[in-house]
Amino acid sequence: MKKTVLTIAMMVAAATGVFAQKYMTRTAKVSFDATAQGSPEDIKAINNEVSNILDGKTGEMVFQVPVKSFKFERALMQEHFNENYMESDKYPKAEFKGAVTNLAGADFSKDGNFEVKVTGKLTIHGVTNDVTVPGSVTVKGTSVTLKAKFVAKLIDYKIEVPGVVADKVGKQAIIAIESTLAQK
Amino acid sequence: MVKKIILVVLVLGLIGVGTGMYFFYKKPETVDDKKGIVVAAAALSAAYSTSEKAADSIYLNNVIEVTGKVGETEQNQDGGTMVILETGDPMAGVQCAMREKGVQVAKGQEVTIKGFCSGNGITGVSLTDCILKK
Repeated sequence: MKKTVLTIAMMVAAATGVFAQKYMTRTAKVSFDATAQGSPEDIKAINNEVSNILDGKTGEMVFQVPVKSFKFERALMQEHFNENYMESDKYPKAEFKGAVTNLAGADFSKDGNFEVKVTGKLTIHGVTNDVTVPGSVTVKGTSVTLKAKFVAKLIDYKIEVPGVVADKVGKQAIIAIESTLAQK
Repeated sequence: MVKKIILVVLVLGLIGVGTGMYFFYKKPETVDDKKGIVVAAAALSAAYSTSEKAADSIYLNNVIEVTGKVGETEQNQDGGTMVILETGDPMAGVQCAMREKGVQVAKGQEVTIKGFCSGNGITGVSLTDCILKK
């Protein structure tokens, strides 16, 4: 009898995805806008090549961003971004490692929307800072969509903007993340 | 004499404007005319798992031509395609972000893809701005 109960419990658990709550994507989107106020041109870029892994059970997540994969409207901006500001030869990756802190309100196993707070370590340009970011989660079947928007100050990541372009490149970047992960 | 000076200033000015316009409208560099480092997907992945630093010194930000079997494809949010080449390790494919939209490849197909290597990550080695060679 005990065995039957255990078997049924295990089957239910497997069906609801308790045992398989790893989610992954290689095509998460990270964009940023570092345009200075009143700048004649936009300083922004998009990266559609971001890897993201999420553990739906613990709320732990990793985002890894290949810096070289940010696309700008103008080649020169892209060059300056890689060579002067981000030094992508030296620091090819930006990374966030963290976890959902309000896990009680986060259920990745059933369809719905909920707000989360994610705390962790953000590494850009070889500099790591502790950050807490509010975000939203949408669960639909076996896919999970994470969205977040936050501001990073360039000085916190030792990214120096020369005076000559200070009218174009701002002191901070608004970073937006949108990631749709599939269950693995 | 004055005429000469005016002419020199004018020519210099034109060169300046020309150079400025060249840089302003310059397109991002592409892999098309560049010779790539030829490597198999499994060998590239193995090089990165042995030593990321050593592999970066050879491949990072350079043009590479990687050959392998298509394991899967992923569509990004803007309609672009990511082709993932098999390496023998399911968590470490070689992921190639294609430059043009609508690239058609079949699972299991042997392909050669040329792109800029943007380093290693949690889901494998990344290539960006890729084109399909065959």
